[in-house]
Amino acid sequence: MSGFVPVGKVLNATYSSSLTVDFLNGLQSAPLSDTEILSVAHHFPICIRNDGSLASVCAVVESRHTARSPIDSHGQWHGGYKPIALRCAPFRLRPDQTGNPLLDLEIFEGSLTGSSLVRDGIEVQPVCNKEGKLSHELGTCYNGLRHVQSQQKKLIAALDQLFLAGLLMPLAQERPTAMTESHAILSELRFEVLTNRALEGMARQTFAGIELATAMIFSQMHLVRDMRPAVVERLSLKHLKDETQATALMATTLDTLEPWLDESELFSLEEFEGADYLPDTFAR
Amino acid sequence: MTIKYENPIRLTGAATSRRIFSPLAYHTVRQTNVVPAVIPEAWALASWFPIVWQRIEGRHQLVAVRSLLADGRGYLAAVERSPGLLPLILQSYPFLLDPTAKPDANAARWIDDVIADSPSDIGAPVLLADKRPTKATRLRLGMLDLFQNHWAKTQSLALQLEALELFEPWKLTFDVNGRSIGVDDLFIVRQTAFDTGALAPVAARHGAVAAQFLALHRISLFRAGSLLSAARVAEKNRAAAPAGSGQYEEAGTSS
Repeated sequence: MSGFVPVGKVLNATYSSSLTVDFLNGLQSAPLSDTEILSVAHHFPICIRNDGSLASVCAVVESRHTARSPIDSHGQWHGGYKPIALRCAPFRLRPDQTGNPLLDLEIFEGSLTGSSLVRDGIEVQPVCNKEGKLSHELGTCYNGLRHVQSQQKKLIAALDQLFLAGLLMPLAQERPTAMTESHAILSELRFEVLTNRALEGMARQTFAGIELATAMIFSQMHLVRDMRPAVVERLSLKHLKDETQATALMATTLDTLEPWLDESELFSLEEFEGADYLPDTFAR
Repeated sequence: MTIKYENPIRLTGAATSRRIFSPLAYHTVRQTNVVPAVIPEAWALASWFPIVWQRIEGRHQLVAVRSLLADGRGYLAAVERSPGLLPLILQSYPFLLDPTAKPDANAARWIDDVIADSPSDIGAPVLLADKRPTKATRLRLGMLDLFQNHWAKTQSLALQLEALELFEPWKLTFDVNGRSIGVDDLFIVRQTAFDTGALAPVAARHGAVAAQFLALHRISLFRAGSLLSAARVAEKNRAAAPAGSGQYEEAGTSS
Protein backbone atom coordinates (compact mmCIF):
# COMPACT_ATOMS: atom_id res chain seq x y z
CA MET A 1 0.00 0.00 0.00
CA SER A 2 1.14 3.53 -0.76
CA GLY A 3 2.38 5.81 1.96
CA PHE A 4 2.44 9.56 2.38
CA VAL A 5 4.97 12.10 1.25
CA PRO A 6 5.31 15.79 2.19
CA VAL A 7 3.97 18.01 -0.58
CA GLY A 8 7.25 19.93 -0.42
CA LYS A 9 8.90 16.92 -2.05
CA VAL A 10 6.47 16.72 -4.96
CA LEU A 11 5.98 20.36 -5.85
CA ASN A 12 6.23 19.65 -9.58
CA ALA A 13 3.86 16.71 -9.49
CA THR A 14 0.20 16.45 -10.22
CA TYR A 15 -2.41 14.50 -8.31
CA SER A 16 -5.99 13.42 -8.62
CA SER A 17 -8.60 13.69 -5.89
CA SER A 18 -10.43 10.82 -7.54
CA LEU A 19 -7.57 8.44 -6.70
CA THR A 20 -8.46 8.27 -3.04
CA VAL A 21 -10.15 4.88 -2.76
CA ASP A 22 -7.04 3.23 -1.31
CA PHE A 23 -6.49 6.22 0.94
CA LEU A 24 -10.00 5.98 2.39
CA ASN A 25 -9.91 2.18 2.53
CA GLY A 26 -6.68 2.33 4.50
CA LEU A 27 -8.07 4.63 7.17
CA GLN A 28 -9.14 3.34 10.54
CA SER A 29 -10.57 6.57 11.84
CA ALA A 30 -10.76 10.25 11.01
CA PRO A 31 -10.23 13.13 13.46
CA LEU A 32 -13.24 15.34 14.14
CA SER A 33 -13.66 19.01 14.83
CA ASP A 34 -15.61 19.73 18.00
CA THR A 35 -18.35 21.23 15.85
CA GLU A 36 -18.80 17.95 13.96
CA ILE A 37 -19.36 15.55 16.83
CA LEU A 38 -23.13 15.86 17.22
CA SER A 39 -23.71 15.55 13.49
CA VAL A 40 -21.25 12.69 12.99
CA ALA A 41 -22.96 10.74 15.81
CA HIS A 42 -25.79 10.16 13.35
CA HIS A 43 -23.48 8.43 10.88
CA PHE A 44 -20.34 6.89 12.43
CA PRO A 45 -19.17 5.36 15.68
CA ILE A 46 -17.27 8.01 17.62
CA CYS A 47 -14.23 6.90 19.56
CA ILE A 48 -11.15 8.24 21.31
CA ARG A 49 -7.91 7.54 19.50
CA ASN A 50 -4.98 7.24 21.85
CA ASP A 51 -1.95 5.83 20.11
CA GLY A 52 0.86 7.53 21.95
CA SER A 53 0.42 11.09 20.79
CA LEU A 54 -2.29 13.42 22.05
CA ALA A 55 -5.63 11.64 22.39
CA SER A 56 -8.19 12.75 19.84
CA VAL A 57 -11.88 12.36 19.09
CA CYS A 58 -12.39 10.37 15.91
CA ALA A 59 -15.02 8.81 13.71
CA VAL A 60 -14.44 5.12 13.04
CA VAL A 61 -14.59 4.70 9.27
CA GLU A 62 -12.83 1.34 8.83
CA SER A 63 -15.40 -0.86 7.12
CA ARG A 64 -14.80 -3.95 9.27
CA HIS A 65 -16.00 -1.96 12.25
CA THR A 66 -18.87 0.05 10.78
CA ALA A 67 -22.38 -1.23 10.22
CA ARG A 68 -22.31 0.31 6.74
CA SER A 69 -19.17 0.84 4.70
CA PRO A 70 -18.91 4.57 3.96
CA ILE A 71 -17.46 4.10 0.47
CA ASP A 72 -18.17 1.65 -2.31
CA SER A 73 -15.63 -0.10 -4.53
CA HIS A 74 -15.61 2.91 -6.88
CA GLY A 75 -14.74 5.31 -4.11
CA GLN A 76 -18.20 6.87 -4.00
CA TRP A 77 -19.19 8.18 -0.60
CA HIS A 78 -22.28 6.65 0.99
CA GLY A 79 -21.64 7.52 4.59
CA GLY A 80 -23.95 10.52 4.96
CA TYR A 81 -22.05 13.36 6.58
CA LYS A 82 -18.45 13.41 5.40
CA PRO A 83 -16.04 14.66 8.06
CA ILE A 84 -13.90 17.65 7.14
CA ALA A 85 -10.71 15.59 7.44
CA LEU A 86 -11.96 13.17 4.80
CA ARG A 87 -13.03 15.94 2.48
CA CYS A 88 -9.38 16.96 2.47
CA ALA A 89 -8.33 13.60 0.99
CA PRO A 90 -5.77 12.76 -0.36
CA PHE A 91 -4.06 15.05 2.14
CA ARG A 92 -3.34 14.72 5.82
CA LEU A 93 -1.22 16.52 8.40
CA ARG A 94 1.83 14.67 9.65
CA PRO A 95 1.52 13.79 13.33
CA ASP A 96 4.64 15.68 14.44
CA GLN A 97 4.18 19.22 13.17
CA THR A 98 7.16 21.33 12.13
CA GLY A 99 5.35 24.57 11.37
CA ASN A 100 6.39 24.36 7.74
CA PRO A 101 3.31 23.65 5.60
CA LEU A 102 5.42 22.07 2.89
CA LEU A 103 6.56 19.43 5.34
CA ASP A 104 3.45 19.20 7.51
CA LEU A 105 0.97 18.69 4.67
CA GLU A 106 1.37 15.19 3.28
CA ILE A 107 -0.17 13.71 0.17
CA PHE A 108 -1.16 10.09 -0.40
CA GLU A 109 1.34 8.69 -2.87
CA GLY A 110 -1.33 6.64 -4.61
CA SER A 111 -3.02 9.82 -5.76
CA LEU A 112 0.08 11.22 -7.48
CA THR A 113 -0.05 11.18 -11.25
CA GLY A 114 3.48 12.25 -12.15
CA SER A 115 3.90 15.54 -13.95
CA SER A 116 1.28 15.07 -16.63
CA LEU A 117 -1.88 17.15 -16.51
CA VAL A 118 -3.84 14.42 -18.27
CA ARG A 119 -3.92 10.79 -17.22
CA ASP A 120 -6.26 8.13 -18.50
CA GLY A 121 -9.08 10.60 -18.76
CA ILE A 122 -9.15 11.46 -15.07
CA GLU A 123 -8.98 15.00 -13.88
CA VAL A 124 -5.66 15.94 -12.31
CA GLN A 125 -4.43 19.05 -10.54
CA PRO A 126 -0.96 20.43 -10.05
CA VAL A 127 0.43 20.61 -6.53
CA CYS A 128 1.76 24.10 -7.27
CA ASN A 129 0.27 26.82 -9.40
CA LYS A 130 2.12 28.74 -12.10
CA GLU A 131 3.56 31.11 -9.52
CA GLY A 132 5.20 28.20 -7.75
CA LYS A 133 2.97 28.42 -4.71
CA LEU A 134 0.67 25.75 -3.32
CA SER A 135 -2.49 25.50 -5.39
CA HIS A 136 -5.83 26.85 -4.24
CA GLU A 137 -7.07 23.33 -3.43
CA LEU A 138 -4.03 22.49 -1.33
CA GLY A 139 -4.33 25.74 0.57
CA THR A 140 -7.96 25.00 1.36
CA CYS A 141 -7.17 21.45 2.49
CA TYR A 142 -4.30 22.63 4.67
CA ASN A 143 -6.53 25.18 6.34
CA GLY A 144 -9.30 22.63 6.78
CA LEU A 145 -6.98 20.11 8.40
CA ARG A 146 -5.44 22.74 10.65
CA HIS A 147 -8.95 23.84 11.61
CA VAL A 148 -9.82 20.28 12.73
CA GLN A 149 -6.57 20.07 14.63
CA SER A 150 -7.11 23.37 16.43
CA GLN A 151 -10.72 22.48 17.27
CA GLN A 152 -9.56 19.18 18.77
CA LYS A 153 -7.66 21.17 21.36
CA LYS A 154 -10.99 22.51 22.62
CA LEU A 155 -11.91 18.92 23.50
CA ILE A 156 -8.96 18.23 25.75
CA ALA A 157 -10.82 19.15 28.94
CA ALA A 158 -13.77 16.99 27.92
CA LEU A 159 -11.47 14.08 27.11
CA ASP A 160 -9.74 14.45 30.46
CA GLN A 161 -13.12 14.14 32.17
CA LEU A 162 -13.80 10.85 30.41
CA PHE A 163 -10.36 9.50 31.33
CA LEU A 164 -10.62 10.65 34.94
CA ALA A 165 -14.09 9.22 35.38
CA GLY A 166 -12.93 5.89 33.95
CA LEU A 167 -15.65 5.89 31.31
CA LEU A 168 -13.58 4.53 28.43
CA MET A 169 -13.02 0.94 27.39
CA PRO A 170 -11.23 -0.63 24.42
CA LEU A 171 -13.05 -0.88 21.12
CA ALA A 172 -14.26 -4.41 20.41
CA GLN A 173 -12.47 -5.80 23.44
CA GLU A 174 -14.38 -9.08 23.25
CA ARG A 175 -13.25 -9.59 19.66
CA PRO A 176 -9.95 -7.68 19.45
CA THR A 177 -8.87 -6.10 16.19
CA ALA A 178 -5.93 -3.99 15.11
CA MET A 179 -7.80 -0.96 16.45
CA THR A 180 -8.60 -2.36 19.89
CA GLU A 181 -5.51 -1.05 21.62
CA SER A 182 -5.53 2.41 20.09
CA HIS A 183 -9.25 3.21 20.00
CA ALA A 184 -11.58 3.50 22.97
CA ILE A 185 -15.35 3.68 23.19
CA LEU A 186 -17.52 4.78 26.04
CA SER A 187 -18.97 2.45 28.65
CA GLU A 188 -22.62 3.26 29.01
CA LEU A 189 -22.86 1.25 32.21
CA ARG A 190 -20.08 3.25 33.88
CA PHE A 191 -21.67 6.51 32.74
CA GLU A 192 -25.07 5.58 34.09
CA VAL A 193 -23.77 4.94 37.59
CA LEU A 194 -22.07 8.32 37.93
CA THR A 195 -23.50 10.17 40.88
CA ASN A 196 -25.37 13.40 40.48
CA ARG A 197 -22.51 15.13 42.27
CA ALA A 198 -19.99 13.79 39.76
CA LEU A 199 -22.16 14.87 36.87
CA GLU A 200 -22.57 18.29 38.38
CA GLY A 201 -18.79 18.53 38.54
CA MET A 202 -18.44 17.50 34.92
CA ALA A 203 -20.93 20.18 33.88
CA ARG A 204 -19.52 22.95 36.05
CA GLN A 205 -17.40 24.59 33.35
CA THR A 206 -19.07 23.39 30.15
CA PHE A 207 -21.32 20.54 29.11
CA ALA A 208 -18.77 19.24 26.58
CA GLY A 209 -17.72 16.13 28.53
CA ILE A 210 -21.27 14.88 29.06
CA GLU A 211 -22.18 15.77 25.50
CA LEU A 212 -19.20 13.90 24.07
CA ALA A 213 -19.89 10.86 26.26
CA THR A 214 -23.53 10.75 25.18
CA ALA A 215 -22.66 11.21 21.51
CA MET A 216 -20.22 8.31 21.80
CA ILE A 217 -22.87 6.02 23.28
CA PHE A 218 -25.49 7.14 20.79
CA SER A 219 -23.10 6.54 17.89
CA GLN A 220 -22.32 2.95 18.91
CA MET A 221 -25.36 1.86 16.94
CA HIS A 222 -23.17 2.39 13.87
CA LEU A 223 -20.62 -0.21 14.95
CA VAL A 224 -20.89 -3.55 13.22
CA ARG A 225 -23.37 -5.56 15.24
CA ASP A 226 -21.06 -8.06 16.95
CA MET A 227 -18.68 -5.30 18.04
CA ARG A 228 -21.32 -3.28 19.84
CA PRO A 229 -21.23 -3.51 23.61
CA ALA A 230 -24.11 -5.75 24.58
CA VAL A 231 -25.80 -2.90 26.34
CA VAL A 232 -26.15 -0.98 23.09
CA GLU A 233 -28.49 -3.61 21.76
CA ARG A 234 -31.08 -2.44 24.22
CA LEU A 235 -30.02 1.18 24.25
CA SER A 236 -32.49 2.49 21.74
CA LEU A 237 -35.11 0.09 22.90
CA LYS A 238 -35.42 0.85 26.56
CA HIS A 239 -39.07 1.63 26.19
CA LEU A 240 -39.98 -1.36 24.08
CA LYS A 241 -41.10 -4.59 25.67
CA ASP A 242 -41.97 -6.45 22.53
CA GLU A 243 -38.91 -8.21 21.17
CA THR A 244 -40.12 -8.41 17.61
CA GLN A 245 -40.80 -4.73 17.47
CA ALA A 246 -37.46 -4.00 19.08
CA THR A 247 -35.60 -6.04 16.48
CA ALA A 248 -37.49 -4.35 13.68
CA LEU A 249 -36.71 -0.94 15.10
CA MET A 250 -32.99 -1.68 15.33
CA ALA A 251 -32.90 -2.98 11.78
CA THR A 252 -34.73 0.08 10.52
CA THR A 253 -32.44 2.43 12.35
CA LEU A 254 -29.35 0.90 10.80
CA ASP A 255 -30.49 0.07 7.33
CA THR A 256 -32.61 2.90 6.11
CA LEU A 257 -30.40 5.94 6.29
CA GLU A 258 -31.25 7.85 3.18
CA PRO A 259 -28.52 9.07 0.83
CA TRP A 260 -30.13 12.48 0.80
CA LEU A 261 -29.58 12.87 4.50
CA ASP A 262 -26.05 14.01 3.64
CA GLU A 263 -25.28 17.04 5.76
CA SER A 264 -21.77 17.64 4.48
CA GLU A 265 -22.72 21.14 3.52
CA LEU A 266 -23.11 22.03 7.18
CA PHE A 267 -19.41 22.78 7.17
CA SER A 268 -18.16 23.68 3.74
CA LEU A 269 -14.50 23.35 2.94
CA GLU A 270 -14.84 26.71 1.23
CA GLU A 271 -15.18 28.24 4.66
CA PHE A 272 -11.52 27.52 5.22
CA GLU A 273 -10.35 29.43 2.16
CA GLY A 274 -10.05 32.57 4.19
CA ALA A 275 -8.52 30.87 7.20
CA ASP A 276 -5.09 32.12 8.12
CA TYR A 277 -3.32 28.90 9.01
CA LEU A 278 -1.40 28.95 5.75
CA PRO A 279 1.11 31.82 5.48
CA ASP A 280 0.92 33.89 2.28
CA THR A 281 4.44 32.78 1.42
CA PHE A 282 3.10 29.34 0.56
CA ALA A 283 -0.31 29.97 -0.88
CA ARG A 284 -1.93 31.25 -4.00
CA MET B 1 -50.01 20.83 18.50
CA THR B 2 -51.32 18.21 20.86
CA ILE B 3 -52.91 15.04 19.59
CA LYS B 4 -56.41 15.74 18.35
CA TYR B 5 -58.38 12.76 19.58
CA GLU B 6 -61.64 12.46 17.69
CA ASN B 7 -63.95 10.66 20.05
CA PRO B 8 -62.23 9.77 23.33
CA ILE B 9 -64.32 7.68 25.71
CA ARG B 10 -63.64 5.76 28.89
CA LEU B 11 -62.28 2.26 28.37
CA THR B 12 -65.20 0.56 30.01
CA GLY B 13 -68.33 -1.31 29.03
CA ALA B 14 -69.01 -1.55 25.33
CA ALA B 15 -65.71 0.17 24.50
CA THR B 16 -63.83 -2.97 25.51
CA SER B 17 -65.46 -4.91 22.69
CA ARG B 18 -64.03 -2.64 19.97
CA ARG B 19 -61.42 -3.98 17.54
CA ILE B 20 -58.10 -2.20 17.42
CA PHE B 21 -55.68 -2.05 14.50
CA SER B 22 -52.09 -1.04 13.81
CA PRO B 23 -51.56 2.58 14.89
CA LEU B 24 -50.78 3.57 11.31
CA ALA B 25 -54.25 2.40 10.30
CA TYR B 26 -55.67 5.47 12.00
CA HIS B 27 -56.01 8.91 10.48
CA THR B 28 -55.09 10.62 13.74
CA VAL B 29 -51.72 8.86 13.97
CA ARG B 30 -50.79 9.58 10.37
CA GLN B 31 -51.77 13.23 10.68
CA THR B 32 -50.06 14.08 13.94
CA ASN B 33 -46.67 15.58 13.16
CA VAL B 34 -45.81 17.06 16.58
CA VAL B 35 -46.13 14.46 19.30
CA PRO B 36 -45.72 14.62 23.10
CA ALA B 37 -42.73 12.56 24.25
CA VAL B 38 -40.95 11.54 27.45
CA ILE B 39 -37.23 11.53 28.24
CA PRO B 40 -36.33 7.83 27.68
CA GLU B 41 -37.76 7.93 24.17
CA ALA B 42 -35.00 10.25 23.05
CA TRP B 43 -32.55 7.37 22.59
CA ALA B 44 -34.76 5.89 19.87
CA LEU B 45 -36.29 9.05 18.42
CA ALA B 46 -33.21 11.28 18.19
CA SER B 47 -32.02 9.36 15.13
CA TRP B 48 -35.08 10.53 13.29
CA PHE B 49 -36.72 13.61 14.77
CA PRO B 50 -35.81 16.81 16.57
CA ILE B 51 -36.74 16.32 20.23
CA VAL B 52 -37.61 19.79 21.51
CA TRP B 53 -40.25 21.58 23.57
CA GLN B 54 -43.42 23.26 22.44
CA ARG B 55 -45.18 25.91 24.43
CA ILE B 56 -48.68 24.56 25.02
CA GLU B 57 -51.22 26.09 27.37
CA GLY B 58 -48.54 27.99 29.23
CA ARG B 59 -46.11 25.13 29.81
CA HIS B 60 -43.22 23.57 27.93
CA GLN B 61 -44.21 20.15 26.62
CA LEU B 62 -41.48 17.85 25.31
CA VAL B 63 -42.33 16.86 21.74
CA ALA B 64 -40.94 14.94 18.79
CA VAL B 65 -41.30 16.79 15.49
CA ARG B 66 -42.08 14.07 12.95
CA SER B 67 -42.75 16.31 9.97
CA LEU B 68 -42.87 19.98 9.08
CA LEU B 69 -46.28 19.46 7.48
CA ALA B 70 -49.43 18.95 9.52
CA ASP B 71 -51.44 17.18 6.85
CA GLY B 72 -49.94 13.70 6.89
CA ARG B 73 -47.19 14.47 4.39
CA GLY B 74 -43.49 15.17 4.66
CA TYR B 75 -42.40 12.11 6.64
CA LEU B 76 -39.12 10.32 6.07
CA ALA B 77 -39.89 7.23 4.01
CA ALA B 78 -38.66 4.77 6.64
CA VAL B 79 -40.55 6.50 9.43
CA GLU B 80 -43.79 6.65 7.54
CA ARG B 81 -44.25 2.90 7.33
CA SER B 82 -42.75 1.81 10.63
CA PRO B 83 -44.99 1.67 13.71
CA GLY B 84 -41.83 0.99 15.74
CA LEU B 85 -40.63 4.52 15.05
CA LEU B 86 -43.73 6.17 16.43
CA PRO B 87 -43.41 7.97 19.75
CA LEU B 88 -44.90 6.00 22.66
CA ILE B 89 -48.11 7.97 22.81
CA LEU B 90 -48.85 7.15 19.16
CA GLN B 91 -47.71 3.53 19.51
CA SER B 92 -50.35 3.15 22.18
CA TYR B 93 -53.13 4.60 20.01
CA PRO B 94 -56.15 4.23 19.99
CA PHE B 95 -55.65 4.07 23.74
CA LEU B 96 -54.98 7.29 25.58
CA LEU B 97 -54.78 8.69 29.07
CA ASP B 98 -57.79 10.53 30.44
CA PRO B 99 -57.59 13.80 28.48
CA THR B 100 -59.46 15.66 31.21
CA ALA B 101 -56.73 14.93 33.79
CA LYS B 102 -52.96 15.32 34.06
CA PRO B 103 -51.15 12.31 32.62
CA ASP B 104 -49.89 11.36 36.06
CA ALA B 105 -50.20 8.07 37.91
CA ASN B 106 -53.90 8.46 38.52
CA ALA B 107 -54.97 9.08 34.93
CA ALA B 108 -57.47 6.50 33.68
CA ARG B 109 -57.18 4.64 30.37
CA TRP B 110 -59.44 5.81 27.59
CA ILE B 111 -59.91 4.83 23.97
CA ASP B 112 -60.41 7.00 20.91
CA ASP B 113 -63.60 5.47 19.57
CA VAL B 114 -62.96 5.88 15.85
CA ILE B 115 -62.89 3.75 12.75
CA ALA B 116 -59.49 2.71 11.39
CA ASP B 117 -59.69 4.22 7.92
CA SER B 118 -56.67 2.38 6.52
CA PRO B 119 -56.45 -1.06 8.15
CA SER B 120 -53.71 -3.41 7.00
CA ASP B 121 -54.97 -6.47 8.88
CA ILE B 122 -58.05 -7.78 10.62
CA GLY B 123 -57.09 -6.19 13.93
CA ALA B 124 -57.77 -7.61 17.36
CA PRO B 125 -60.43 -7.04 20.02
CA VAL B 126 -59.56 -5.02 23.11
CA LEU B 127 -60.63 -7.92 25.32
CA LEU B 128 -61.10 -11.58 24.57
CA ALA B 129 -64.40 -13.29 25.29
CA ASP B 130 -63.11 -14.29 28.72
CA LYS B 131 -62.34 -10.62 29.45
CA ARG B 132 -58.57 -11.05 29.24
CA PRO B 133 -56.77 -8.36 27.24
CA THR B 134 -55.35 -9.40 23.88
CA LYS B 135 -51.63 -9.15 23.18
CA ALA B 136 -52.22 -5.98 21.13
CA THR B 137 -54.02 -4.42 24.08
CA ARG B 138 -51.36 -5.42 26.58
CA LEU B 139 -48.57 -4.09 24.39
CA ARG B 140 -50.21 -0.73 23.79
CA LEU B 141 -51.33 -0.22 27.34
CA GLY B 142 -47.75 -1.06 28.29
CA MET B 143 -46.57 1.78 26.05
CA LEU B 144 -49.06 4.06 27.72
CA ASP B 145 -47.77 2.95 31.14
CA LEU B 146 -44.23 3.87 30.13
CA PHE B 147 -45.30 7.29 28.91
CA GLN B 148 -47.24 7.85 32.09
CA ASN B 149 -44.39 6.62 34.32
CA HIS B 150 -41.92 9.06 32.80
CA TRP B 151 -44.23 12.02 32.31
CA ALA B 152 -43.67 13.52 35.75
CA LYS B 153 -39.86 13.43 35.47
CA THR B 154 -40.02 14.83 31.96
CA GLN B 155 -42.20 17.66 33.18
CA SER B 156 -39.99 18.24 36.20
CA LEU B 157 -36.97 18.71 33.93
CA ALA B 158 -38.88 21.19 31.78
CA LEU B 159 -39.93 23.14 34.85
CA GLN B 160 -36.34 23.40 36.07
CA LEU B 161 -35.09 24.52 32.67
CA GLU B 162 -37.89 27.08 32.64
CA ALA B 163 -37.03 28.32 36.14
CA LEU B 164 -33.37 28.69 35.16
CA GLU B 165 -34.45 30.58 32.02
CA LEU B 166 -32.60 28.07 29.86
CA PHE B 167 -35.12 27.86 27.03
CA GLU B 168 -34.83 29.84 23.84
CA PRO B 169 -37.18 29.88 20.84
CA TRP B 170 -36.33 27.63 17.91
CA LYS B 171 -37.51 28.83 14.54
CA LEU B 172 -38.44 25.83 12.45
CA THR B 173 -40.27 27.52 9.60
CA PHE B 174 -39.09 27.65 6.01
CA ASP B 175 -40.18 29.10 2.73
CA VAL B 176 -40.72 26.27 0.26
CA ASN B 177 -41.97 27.18 -3.18
CA GLY B 178 -43.33 30.44 -1.86
CA ARG B 179 -45.23 28.73 0.93
CA SER B 180 -44.29 29.01 4.58
CA ILE B 181 -44.07 25.60 6.22
CA GLY B 182 -42.91 24.48 9.63
CA VAL B 183 -43.88 24.26 13.26
CA ASP B 184 -44.44 27.21 15.58
CA ASP B 185 -43.79 27.83 19.27
CA LEU B 186 -40.84 25.46 19.56
CA PHE B 187 -38.13 25.84 22.17
CA ILE B 188 -34.69 24.37 22.69
CA VAL B 189 -32.20 24.60 25.52
CA ARG B 190 -30.30 27.85 25.14
CA GLN B 191 -27.29 26.92 23.05
CA THR B 192 -24.90 29.10 25.02
CA ALA B 193 -25.83 27.12 28.14
CA PHE B 194 -23.79 24.19 26.83
CA ASP B 195 -20.64 26.32 26.78
CA THR B 196 -20.99 27.46 30.38
CA GLY B 197 -21.80 25.83 33.68
CA ALA B 198 -25.47 26.76 33.38
CA LEU B 199 -26.57 23.13 33.13
CA ALA B 200 -24.68 21.94 36.21
CA PRO B 201 -27.72 22.45 38.50
CA VAL B 202 -29.79 20.32 36.13
CA ALA B 203 -27.24 17.49 36.24
CA ALA B 204 -27.09 17.81 40.02
CA ARG B 205 -30.83 17.51 40.41
CA HIS B 206 -31.82 15.08 37.69
CA GLY B 207 -28.70 12.92 37.26
CA ALA B 208 -27.38 10.83 34.40
CA VAL B 209 -30.67 10.21 32.59
CA ALA B 210 -31.39 13.92 32.26
CA ALA B 211 -27.78 14.81 31.48
CA GLN B 212 -27.72 12.29 28.66
CA PHE B 213 -31.08 13.50 27.48
CA LEU B 214 -29.87 17.10 27.16
CA ALA B 215 -27.06 15.91 24.90
CA LEU B 216 -29.48 13.76 22.89
CA HIS B 217 -31.72 16.80 22.51
CA ARG B 218 -28.84 18.66 20.85
CA ILE B 219 -27.94 15.64 18.69
CA SER B 220 -31.55 15.38 17.54
CA LEU B 221 -31.59 18.94 16.22
CA PHE B 222 -29.52 17.76 13.27
CA ARG B 223 -32.58 15.89 12.02
CA ALA B 224 -34.23 19.17 11.09
CA GLY B 225 -32.40 19.11 7.75
CA SER B 226 -33.89 15.71 6.96
CA LEU B 227 -37.39 16.94 7.75
CA LEU B 228 -36.89 19.94 5.48
CA SER B 229 -35.71 17.69 2.65
CA ALA B 230 -38.74 15.44 3.10
CA ALA B 231 -41.07 18.43 3.20
CA ARG B 232 -39.56 19.83 0.01
CA VAL B 233 -40.12 16.51 -1.75
CA ALA B 234 -43.72 16.46 -0.53
CA GLU B 235 -44.31 20.01 -1.72
CA LYS B 236 -42.71 19.27 -5.06
CA ASN B 237 -44.96 16.24 -5.49
CA ARG B 238 -47.98 18.30 -4.61
CA ALA B 239 -47.03 20.93 -7.16
CA ALA B 240 -46.47 18.27 -9.81
CA ALA B 241 -49.81 16.55 -9.19
CA PRO B 242 -52.40 17.32 -11.87
CA ALA B 243 -54.98 19.86 -10.71
CA GLY B 244 -58.15 18.18 -9.49
CA SER B 245 -56.51 14.74 -9.46
CA GLY B 246 -57.18 14.50 -5.76
CA GLN B 247 -53.82 12.79 -5.37
CA TYR B 248 -52.74 15.19 -2.65
CA GLU B 249 -56.10 16.10 -1.30
CA GLU B 250 -56.86 13.00 0.71
CA ALA B 251 -55.88 12.94 4.31
CA GLY B 252 -52.94 10.72 4.95
CA THR B 253 -51.36 11.03 1.53
CA SER B 254 -47.66 11.45 1.95
CA SER B 255 -44.44 11.88 0.06
